[in-house]
Amino acid sequence: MTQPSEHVSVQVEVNGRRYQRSVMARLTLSDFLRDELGLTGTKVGCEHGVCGACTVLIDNEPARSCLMLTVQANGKQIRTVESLASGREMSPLQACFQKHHALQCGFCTAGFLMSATALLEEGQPTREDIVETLSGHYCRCTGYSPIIDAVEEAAAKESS
Amino acid sequence: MSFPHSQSPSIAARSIGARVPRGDDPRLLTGRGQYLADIVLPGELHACFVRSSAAHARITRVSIDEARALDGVVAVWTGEDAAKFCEGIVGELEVEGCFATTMPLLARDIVRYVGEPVAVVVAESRYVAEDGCDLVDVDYEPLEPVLHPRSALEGGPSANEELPDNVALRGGKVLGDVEGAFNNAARVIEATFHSGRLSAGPMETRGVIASYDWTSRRLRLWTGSQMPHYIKYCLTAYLGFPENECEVLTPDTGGGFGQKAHIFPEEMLLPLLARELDRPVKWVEDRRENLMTATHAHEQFIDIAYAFDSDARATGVRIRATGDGGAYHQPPWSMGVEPWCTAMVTPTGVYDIPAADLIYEAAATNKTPIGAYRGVGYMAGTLVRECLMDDAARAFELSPFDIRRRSVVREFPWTNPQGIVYDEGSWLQTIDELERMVDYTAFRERQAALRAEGRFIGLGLSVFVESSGESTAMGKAHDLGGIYHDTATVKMEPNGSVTVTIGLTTQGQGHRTTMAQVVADSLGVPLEAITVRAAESTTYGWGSGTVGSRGAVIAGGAVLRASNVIRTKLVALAASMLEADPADIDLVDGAAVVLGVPGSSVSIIDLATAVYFDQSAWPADFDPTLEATLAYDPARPIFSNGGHAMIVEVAPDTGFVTVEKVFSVEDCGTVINPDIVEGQIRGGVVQGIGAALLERLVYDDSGQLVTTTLLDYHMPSMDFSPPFEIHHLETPSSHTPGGIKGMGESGLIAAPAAVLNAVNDALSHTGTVLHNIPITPEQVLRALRG
Amino acid sequence: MKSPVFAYAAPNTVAEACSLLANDEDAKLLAGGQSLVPLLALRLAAPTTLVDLRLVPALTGITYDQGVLRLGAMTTHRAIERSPLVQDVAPAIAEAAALIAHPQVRTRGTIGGAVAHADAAAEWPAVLLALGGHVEVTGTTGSRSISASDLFMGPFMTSLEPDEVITSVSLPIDGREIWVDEHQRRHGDYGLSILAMTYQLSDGFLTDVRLAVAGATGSVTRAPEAEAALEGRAPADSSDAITALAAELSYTSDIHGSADYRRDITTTLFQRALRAAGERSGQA
Repeated sequence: MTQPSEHVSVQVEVNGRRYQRSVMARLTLSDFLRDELGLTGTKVGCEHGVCGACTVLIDNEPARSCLMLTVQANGKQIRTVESLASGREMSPLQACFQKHHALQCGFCTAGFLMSATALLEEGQPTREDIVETLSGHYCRCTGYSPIIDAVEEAAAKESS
Repeated sequence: MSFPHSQSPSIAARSIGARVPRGDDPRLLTGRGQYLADIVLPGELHACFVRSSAAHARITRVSIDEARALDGVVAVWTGEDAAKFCEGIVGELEVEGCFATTMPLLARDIVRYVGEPVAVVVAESRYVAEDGCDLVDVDYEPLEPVLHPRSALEGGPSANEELPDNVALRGGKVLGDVEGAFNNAARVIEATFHSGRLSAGPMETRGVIASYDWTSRRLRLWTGSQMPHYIKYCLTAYLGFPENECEVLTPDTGGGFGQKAHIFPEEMLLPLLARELDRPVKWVEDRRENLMTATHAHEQFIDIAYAFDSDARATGVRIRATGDGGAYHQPPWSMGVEPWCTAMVTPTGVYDIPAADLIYEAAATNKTPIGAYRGVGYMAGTLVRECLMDDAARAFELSPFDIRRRSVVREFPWTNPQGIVYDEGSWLQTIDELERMVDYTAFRERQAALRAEGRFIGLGLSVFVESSGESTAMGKAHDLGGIYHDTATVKMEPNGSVTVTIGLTTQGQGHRTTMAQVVADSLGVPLEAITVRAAESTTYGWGSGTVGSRGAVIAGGAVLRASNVIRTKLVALAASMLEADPADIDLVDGAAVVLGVPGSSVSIIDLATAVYFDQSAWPADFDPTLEATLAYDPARPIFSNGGHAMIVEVAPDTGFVTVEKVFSVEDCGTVINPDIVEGQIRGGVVQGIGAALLERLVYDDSGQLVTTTLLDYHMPSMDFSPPFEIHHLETPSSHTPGGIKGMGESGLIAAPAAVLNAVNDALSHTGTVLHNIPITPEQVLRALRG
Repeated sequence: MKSPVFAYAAPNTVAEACSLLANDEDAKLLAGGQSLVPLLALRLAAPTTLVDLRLVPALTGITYDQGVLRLGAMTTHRAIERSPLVQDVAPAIAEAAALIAHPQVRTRGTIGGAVAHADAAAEWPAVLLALGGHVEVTGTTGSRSISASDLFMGPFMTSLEPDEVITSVSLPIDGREIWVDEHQRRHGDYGLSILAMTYQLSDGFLTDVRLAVAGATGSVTRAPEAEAALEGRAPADSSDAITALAAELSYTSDIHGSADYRRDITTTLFQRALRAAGERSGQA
């Protein structure tokens, strides 16, 4: 029978790279990404699943990495903000964020980018879809409308 | 008295005014930002605080043995341990009638608010530090909590025995014939307002890392502070760290909004722990701590009355502003600045009101200390003034635009009864422009048509004048102590590239971009050749803090003054090389050109190279230093102005309020970068919508804070984001660099009044007028149901 | 805000999960973790053992058979919301799933976890009650079926035994009309009032009405008097039921709304449901 343990072994693929680590069972995925893998682009804003800053993609679906234990991601593919640019070029979505001044302090931005990336990969979102999906993220600087504009333009670019 | 550092050179706007994309963005968008928690020092320890669970109590026992024994715990300190090094941080506001308090680094004997730090556990990881905190056992003997500011000022138990009568601040002034104004008034419009307790809620919480090297006595302290030089000063003044070996570093910072413009006990404790434990110590505040302890904001009770003559002109004002201050003054802004500013600065606003009776007071209460949050003092003051203007409009049956036009100041310079001189402004034009943008007649028609269908929309107006570019002159004009000046260094290197360091930190405002625009226009070099470092370390420059809408003005002035030194040298050299009169040389598009002589030019790169490497090109007595550090502090107070009009809809089945559209007019003088100005407006307005409709820190009757998570403290999310229409007016300041004025706070200052007014307009058929924020759906539903 | 220490186990069978639970009275099941992990972070929960169900096969999946929609306990809200099968046989259930929190939470949160958590402001318990659904559970001594009305005992309380695991949730989809909606202040907020109603319409009259309320009340609850007052009535003939609903439930007060307010908006939600019923019956 499975013996409960305070430590667990995990194997994950993050941004196309495989990692195997032994970690505390209580370690959240956000802390794992940041502290164990050094992927500090994922930010932690509330640690109770409300602000959305820590959102990453788990098997292509957005999820709060502060609401997951690392071990729950065992065997899964994870993508973080560090994966978005290709080579030395920002993704169209990232470029649209810059163009529309859709970030100020930048702390919440990775979360928005990851949820928006998943949304764009699923198809052609409407403005309502964008608001519905990204309402799960707080931004305290921009007042949001530039973020909506940025995602909308990125969606238009993808479809053209 | 005039000082050289108050004089700003002139500048030709070329890059200034353009929508230049921010150079910071690719770094931040790709996850390369380095915020406090991203910094890892070798061997670092993690601190976590045991915080008071009682609002007011005597500590009878703190038991730390179990925590100390926990594997991985390195140290546990209580109030006694901290007091050996520092009795506490003294706070007060430099105005008449303020009484100081001393905030201990860790509570000793008595706790005075829920969340006050009682002990600190330092461990090998944050996880273990939290485990250790769970093992610290504190016994409390309850004392009566003081929770209501106005009754606290009338007597009863003390919230903090340093202030036995709970009076932390009390003062005021009577200016002009107030009695006459009210005795002769055709109407008096008055109300009592409550402006709710808020959290600035930056997305990145506070945090500190301290590292100490005993061999050099060198202390390095990382903190996302808006006032790093002030923090550094405190490290020496309170803790005795040698000033020359202290460095405060500010990494990328995830928003501040005034919350990070204070000195906090945690920032004082971490360096002591690092020194005593001989290892770096890190503390990253969690969200619960942030909501509980990182200063609260804006809460006031305000009685206000305006006298109007029969022409609906305001002739006098009476105000009593009472702050619910919390248990201590949080230095440097204290619990005083909020009610003081509301009473002493805002009641006249853009209106020519000759008589004013102004009372300010702040009560100590057993709550988290009140601190600064964007628009401190101005938001509540603008709320009450502008809301009563709309109440008056209804009483006089005038439009909200007309009632304001009756009293608005039309001629400048204008001196208000408080003696503050306003050099220029577009106060009337703001009202006219908003009326045009809203299309007032069409709005009223649409409102009537929708009402007939059982839908309720409303229009709210709010106009403001905002002190900006916080300066020594501004303080003096307001009888407020304090001296401000900030330096910038501009250095040109042999290939013509420029490095700029400013004494102001940045929390997302884009200073690196706007300051580069200023330098580009001063030196004629392309933006790509300019790097701006925004107070990343106190090693560079001096700064009085990114507060009071001062960043663009103050850093701009310092940068321009320093850059002008370089410019003068380049011009002299170019004049020598081109055999022209220096007065005929301009620096533009990467070259020094002789005006009126096409083809006569030399590139800035060649000039810079010549300064470093070609003595033969130099004119007589040339000093090749291409680096200058200068200070700036504007000679006179600077005021920006503007307004917002909002259309809201209230839902008859829930009382929910939706903001349909925001119209904003902003006059911050010369606009450096419209994208950034508009970003500040939208962000501030949405914070204001939050303050008006959602956000509220709530204490229960025992002084427990109820709203300790974001599940209970509701900030605006994207579905609360309205579309904006923004119009810029540009009335340049006559004495700032290029005529720029500050505007970082304007959105939050004026938006809540516009929301409240719009809701009251939507409810105008019900007879209910609301005077509290946040407006709850319940209040709206009650009003609709009669 | 870091979780306290716990021991972790991810068993491969339900039986193993049950015995892990039986072996440690302070053990807790982990499904999607969207409610449990924040409780751990806030140290409001401190289980000694977490028993993760993610490796147990056959706990996910959606089937429809003989009028019963069966949702594996580990099926995420997102999977239910997006399931073509659910959208086809019971679109109201897919829409109800979409009311839960935000997409970033729905991708991880599970129906079994939500039902077992029994939050007073959760959607699934109300849906389950209004539909007359049940859960299949397995314990160390065997399996049983618990009807929704026997499952929810109060806020965060169910009749599950400590060693029992919900394996699936069954919702009868038998032609009865289903309506679920809620008043949320912001997208994804906990509902200030959640209402789920099922009924038959025959000749424009309501029969077999089941009404469940959450969010507005201390725990999810049926409203039997309002149900009775609607029986045999046309949707427009509902004033008795509206009065009954306002009177029979015990509404809660908190910082987001008083009991009176919650009563009022539950009433408006009920009226919305009745308008929808009127439209469905062609009598609107």
